[in-house]
Amino acid sequence: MKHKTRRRSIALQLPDIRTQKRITWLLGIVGALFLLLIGRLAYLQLYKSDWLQAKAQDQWTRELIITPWRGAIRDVNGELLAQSVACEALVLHPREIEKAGNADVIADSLAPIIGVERDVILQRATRSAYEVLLKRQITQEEADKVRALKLRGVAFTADRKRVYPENTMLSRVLGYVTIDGVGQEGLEAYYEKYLKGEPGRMETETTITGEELPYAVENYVPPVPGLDATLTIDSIIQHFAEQAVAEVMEQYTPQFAGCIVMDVNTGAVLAMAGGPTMDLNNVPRNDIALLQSLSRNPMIQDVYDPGSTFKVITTASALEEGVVTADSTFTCSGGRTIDGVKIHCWKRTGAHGTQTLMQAVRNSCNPVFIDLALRLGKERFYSYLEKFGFGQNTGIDFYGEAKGIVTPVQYVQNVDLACMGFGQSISVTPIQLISAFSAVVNGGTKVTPHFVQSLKDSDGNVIQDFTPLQGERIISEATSAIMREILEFTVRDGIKGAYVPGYRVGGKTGTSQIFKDGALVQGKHVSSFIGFAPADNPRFAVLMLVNQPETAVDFGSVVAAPYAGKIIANVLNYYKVPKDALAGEEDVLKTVKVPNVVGMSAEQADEELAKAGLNAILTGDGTVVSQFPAAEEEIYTGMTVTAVTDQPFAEDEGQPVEVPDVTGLSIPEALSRLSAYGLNLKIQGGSGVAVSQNPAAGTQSATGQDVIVTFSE
Amino acid sequence: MPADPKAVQRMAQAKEKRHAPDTFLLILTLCLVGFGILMVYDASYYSAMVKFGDRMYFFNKQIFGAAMGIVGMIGCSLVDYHFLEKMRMPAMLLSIALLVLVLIPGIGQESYGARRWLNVGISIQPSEISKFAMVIYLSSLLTRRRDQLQYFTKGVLPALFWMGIVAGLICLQPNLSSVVCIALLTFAMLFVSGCRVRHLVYLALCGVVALAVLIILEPYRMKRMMAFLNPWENPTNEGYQLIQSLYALGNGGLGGMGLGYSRQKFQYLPFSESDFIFSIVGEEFGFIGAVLLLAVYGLFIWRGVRIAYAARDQYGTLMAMGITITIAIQVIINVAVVTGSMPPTGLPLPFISAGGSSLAIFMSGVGVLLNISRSMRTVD
Repeated sequence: MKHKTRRRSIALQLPDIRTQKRITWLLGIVGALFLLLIGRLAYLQLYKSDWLQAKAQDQWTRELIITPWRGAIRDVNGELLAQSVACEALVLHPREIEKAGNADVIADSLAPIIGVERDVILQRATRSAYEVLLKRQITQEEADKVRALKLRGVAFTADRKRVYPENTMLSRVLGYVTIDGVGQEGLEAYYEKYLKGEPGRMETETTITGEELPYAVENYVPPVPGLDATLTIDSIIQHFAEQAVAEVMEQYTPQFAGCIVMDVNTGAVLAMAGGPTMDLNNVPRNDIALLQSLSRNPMIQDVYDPGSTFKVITTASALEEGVVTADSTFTCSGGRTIDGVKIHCWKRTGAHGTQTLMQAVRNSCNPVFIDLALRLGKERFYSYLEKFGFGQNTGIDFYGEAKGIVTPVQYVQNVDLACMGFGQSISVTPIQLISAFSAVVNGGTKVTPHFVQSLKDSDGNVIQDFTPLQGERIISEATSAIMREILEFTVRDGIKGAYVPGYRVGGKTGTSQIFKDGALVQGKHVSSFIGFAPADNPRFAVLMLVNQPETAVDFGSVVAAPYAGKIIANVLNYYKVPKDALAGEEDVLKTVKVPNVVGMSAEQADEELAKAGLNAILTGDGTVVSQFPAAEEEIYTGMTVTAVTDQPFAEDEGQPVEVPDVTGLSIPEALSRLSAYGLNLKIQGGSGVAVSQNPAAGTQSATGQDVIVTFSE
Repeated sequence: MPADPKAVQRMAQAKEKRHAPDTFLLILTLCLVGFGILMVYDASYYSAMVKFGDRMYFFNKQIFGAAMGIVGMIGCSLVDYHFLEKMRMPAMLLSIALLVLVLIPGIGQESYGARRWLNVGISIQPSEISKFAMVIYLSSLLTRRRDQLQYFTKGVLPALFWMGIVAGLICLQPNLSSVVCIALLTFAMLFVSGCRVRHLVYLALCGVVALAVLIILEPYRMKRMMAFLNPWENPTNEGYQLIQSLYALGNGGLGGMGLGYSRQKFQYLPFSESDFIFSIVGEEFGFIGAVLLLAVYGLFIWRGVRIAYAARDQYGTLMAMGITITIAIQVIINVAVVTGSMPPTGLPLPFISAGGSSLAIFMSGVGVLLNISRSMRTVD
């Protein structure tokens, strides 16, 4: 049988029954494995699907953040003060450059155009990346020059920059933004959350190399532009203030000169200038100490001893409490002795003698205010300090506001109280003083100083309105009226510099002592004037403050009052307040027709206005594009016409100048000293006082040149 | 051993007459091949564009493979399968010769640290050919020695001898997945042909030990082994491909993204057109589509097994079973790999994965099945 089987042809070998059984078994095993696989698929595709899909989604999607447009900042009349605009950034494509082999050519030709060092360009051009950023926010001029070169591997991408059309104007108020457009100082920082807008998002699905998929699901969330801020600042008034500050800086080369113009009824800041200034379109980003110094706003962030201007507060408080009347008389014998300490009147020879309260204010007679403070006593005096807002934040919409220094009431001796009465032994911020002063003259109600009037969306709808509520009453209407009378008398009869013939102006000067590290600095003062107008119906107050003017006679009446007076006259004229001449002053009523200077060059316009007996403010060089007041308008002679030009001031460079000595000065001091001479400060290390300078003091240099100053640690 | 009386009876009942081949199997095959061409294009056009600058690169190769496959299938279905029995020795020797050739540097193409490809105008994988050579040879051997199969030395050992030569050569490439495939194929054929289960259990134990030794000798296999257990442990290296495959399947969910809407094919999933094409099917057609595809394979295997069951003789049965089981093993291993159910190995999905020579060989195998079906006995 076996033998036979073997010989049988293979084709005749019948299928085996056992084979068939085992085939069934095997089919079963295969089936079972299939079921297991289906189970596994169900686990992955049904149970774990969401989890896997989410992880996969992360891998495919590239999220692109779309930067929103930052809101603009405008003045009360809608004039642009800050705006974000499109510009270009210069980029390099190293792979292209490698192919073209033109890295050296690029470095050589770009370096002089964009002001980046040749080695830096070369290093970036040879980096291994698809795209390397070379310089952001290049100017149109730079872009045109680079384009003309037609260099392979050099390209442009869209960028944005913040533009400040008024350049240096409001430089200590507006602040500035980082290169990425984040508000750093001033209003740019304070209103950051409103100005910045909401970034948009674009999600796209891409291939592994980042290419967009042909049928990608896109998720687009459009960016929301930032809100536009409308300030209470009036550019016209700001120009007056800026000009006054610039003139003070030039005449007296002080450490700092500042000016605030405030609406006395609302606390709205109409103008705030501070010198030296910086061009907001070109801030010294690489010099942090310098940038900090120039962006600081001493009108809000720094304190000083107010001196005689503070007597206004003492007087108002005393009148309100009835410890004195306008007719009360006082005798000055050159000083007062309090608890055994002799306090002198500022006038040591020829004491003021017997005087009424009104005369005492005009005379600024210290003993009288010592008396008033002592009559009030420290509790009552302090209650008025608090009501007027001293020793506390005013609530102004600005970061870094100083509180001022007021000795806690429990530590106050009578001597201290006496000194506070005439404005010493107390430190205030300029913004505190002018806010309190506004309350004194406006009828007696407190004001909260503020810069921003409203926030509007891109369609011009008001989103938030900051119109202040009526402030609480501090002094009565009657006391306020007496104060206005006293202050008007003080200017008319005492402060010739601030007197504006034909207008009713009230005010008070101050010459404050300066303390450094607790010690009195001899021969250095802060000269100031605070005033308001019109005296019968007050609309605005002006505080002019000059820190350490370089002059022998540094009284506030000499240094600050005339400039404040000029501002007051211009503002009154701008507000179209009619003049009312006193006898013998009739010629101040003379009016003149404003000539048309639009289309003239800046110099022509200046000449033309001078010829007409008018003062001129030119915002820059070039051609006059608009003027205020308009041509043909009748205004008083000697008033100011603001002419807006189409170009910023060309750097006044190359004038010969002798380098001043800055050794021993702090950074801000050295800065203002040098800027007064038209020189640039370059800080070399340290943050203390200047220990050396190059070029040395007394050497000849030219305006626009750098002076390298080394400061101690 | 005497012929089983029942088998004799059945044989008597069987119609000796030749009849039409299994049309259903033919239709299933053509469906799979057609679907495969579509999926290869769909899954590969992007990476083909990126890598070769020609979106049709893999598609054209697949079309060419399918054309060769049609020729091979028709040819094999017309030639009496008993002719293959006569060609068993030349087929085996040719297969061994190719496996040796591929190991020679300069002839065998090296990629990813292994020599698996021969380029003779078209790229062919000798290991694919050797699987079918093994089927041809073992079917004959196990039919001829059916009486000695209960003896290990006379029945089982000769089969193991040939398997050892072929698997050993493939091991040298190295190509562990094909080794496993050939081992399982041999095992299944020994089982079906009727050798003792006890012998097979011993063999299985030996196989496990051998596998363990291979893994210990080559530590990179150990790493790959671990990767499938927790791919997220090393998501950028060993685990990367599996994670991408699971993302594709998970993204498909129940109903899939729709034809052409795979995201993972955009170069996220490597080999998305070949070894991991099933993941793209799962992504575009979802769980439903993946199960449907498995169902088509199930039907295919059922038809193949049916042909084996009703083949006119033992040789036909083993031959049909060998071809069917080869396809079944590859489907199971491929799907198990892409679903992270076993260590990743590079086995193509029959008829679907890009690979012209593989497709042509599988289709020729179907041709043999069709030929066997032509002389099938009628089954109940």
